[in-house]
Amino acid sequence: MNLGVKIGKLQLKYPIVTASGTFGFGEELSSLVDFSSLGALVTKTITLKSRRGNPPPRIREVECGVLNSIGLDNPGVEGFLKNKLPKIKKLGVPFIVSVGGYSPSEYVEVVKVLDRVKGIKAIEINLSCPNLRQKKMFSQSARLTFKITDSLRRITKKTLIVKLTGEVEDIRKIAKSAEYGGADALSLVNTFFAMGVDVDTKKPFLGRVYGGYSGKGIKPLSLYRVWECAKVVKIPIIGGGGIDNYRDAIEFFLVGAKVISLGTINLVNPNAAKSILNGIIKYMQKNKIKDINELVGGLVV
Amino acid sequence: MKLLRVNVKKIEKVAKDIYRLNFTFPYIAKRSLPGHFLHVRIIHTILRRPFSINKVEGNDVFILFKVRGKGTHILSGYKKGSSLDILGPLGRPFTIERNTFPILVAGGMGIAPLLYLAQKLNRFRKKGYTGWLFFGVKKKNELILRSEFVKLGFRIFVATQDGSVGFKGMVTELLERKLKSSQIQALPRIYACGPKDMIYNLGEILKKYPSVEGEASWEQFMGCGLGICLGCVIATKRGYKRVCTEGPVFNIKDVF
Repeated sequence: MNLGVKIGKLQLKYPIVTASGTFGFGEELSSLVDFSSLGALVTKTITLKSRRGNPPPRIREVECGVLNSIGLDNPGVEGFLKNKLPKIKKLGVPFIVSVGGYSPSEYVEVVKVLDRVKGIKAIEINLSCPNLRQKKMFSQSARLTFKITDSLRRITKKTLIVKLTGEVEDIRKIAKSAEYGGADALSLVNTFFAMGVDVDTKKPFLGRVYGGYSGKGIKPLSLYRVWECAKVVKIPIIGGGGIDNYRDAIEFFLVGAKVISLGTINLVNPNAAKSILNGIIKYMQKNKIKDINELVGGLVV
Repeated sequence: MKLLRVNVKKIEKVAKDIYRLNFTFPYIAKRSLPGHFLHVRIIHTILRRPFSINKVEGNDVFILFKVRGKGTHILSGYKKGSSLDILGPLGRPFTIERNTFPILVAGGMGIAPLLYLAQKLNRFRKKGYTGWLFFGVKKKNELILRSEFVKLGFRIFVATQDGSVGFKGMVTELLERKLKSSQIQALPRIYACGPKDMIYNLGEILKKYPSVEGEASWEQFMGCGLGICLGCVIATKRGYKRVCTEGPVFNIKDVF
């Protein structure tokens, strides 16, 4: 049975990655997690300079998911290279470095630095963080999605994955802009703008009032967007949003995701990849599927 | 720290809406320190919920909780034998300084971690009281676990908001009066848990007693409990700090 998939130049043993921001830099979990079920881990998003993030409270469970407004709290690219990268390398699992920025030029500056670092093979461009000062995200504009992807493609040969928001009028246009700009893969989708209110105190759940919504509640939204994009791009799609069991994962494969991404579930069970992988294997055995790639896009309509 | 599955040994109602649950697990009983917390996965909820360790007896570990939202409501319905998915022990515990006089300050459910602390402090008791407990509550039915503190050698001072028992007013006001009027043999050390306002007031008191150190256990909505999601931060004088890993116990002077 083959479970291996290729994303750009990155060969993954299994079609499962962790979503940025839900797995730290991996090393914090080394005493608890068996990394062998992961295709790759995606790091917390790093920016050019270290950032302190948004005011608390930053996280809150709501009916069908989780609200967060962390706000790219991170050590900056230099802090990452000095304190985190050496530890990630020791984990023995492929990793993808997530990069964020406040301006197109910030992405370029960070990727220029990462491009010189030998141990880094793949970069995920986070064009969809909902927790920045500006309310508009880069991946809400086809023009900016193309511009940033293209400018990064010109400075690095490393695998480039572009992470998009689902909050657009027509995600196919954005997906094609990223592909046209030279992305090796797409990651779909980031959290959705959301908020919650405590009626007793009349205060918002989050210190920043609004944030991003993840978990089960966004699964149908994300599935639809993966399906839409899979029809119009040739590059592989990493799909995720509310996956916490193997059947969720299979849904994403069927609508066209080549790799699935685990997010919110990591906060509850950082070993979730293991049971989900076992479930995928059993499903493939039962359905006599020899290669995971046969499953991708196998939706019967 | 481990991810484990245990069975509820007993769950009892301590007062209105307040429950105490225990299970047997030697690893947690032996490894945990006062101030540590357990991150508990509750059925039909999404994120785990943090509970400080209330007491350890032999290999039995106790948590104390008040029904406040969905998670605690469901947990209160757990029965003997129910399966619990636990991550722990987690966090930075209280720092026990042996040659100081412990003053515990609890606000409401803030009593929870202080009992385990009292158990450990009781081991160093020489003569007289192990320490003092200042316990502030809204109403007298929230005055729980007092006999257990008495057994551990604590002298208890009570403050209620409605004045139905003890001092009428804030527990920190009562503490300040006692500090002014009493002679304490050793240097006092404050260990606290309670609402943010109470800890803020303690910070103000500590400014008047520069030689006295104080630690408090903080509460915050939490994600992973492992320091990776950066969800549970509080604002301190040195920037945002994670309650799950840099806390939940902080030096009060580092925050207020």
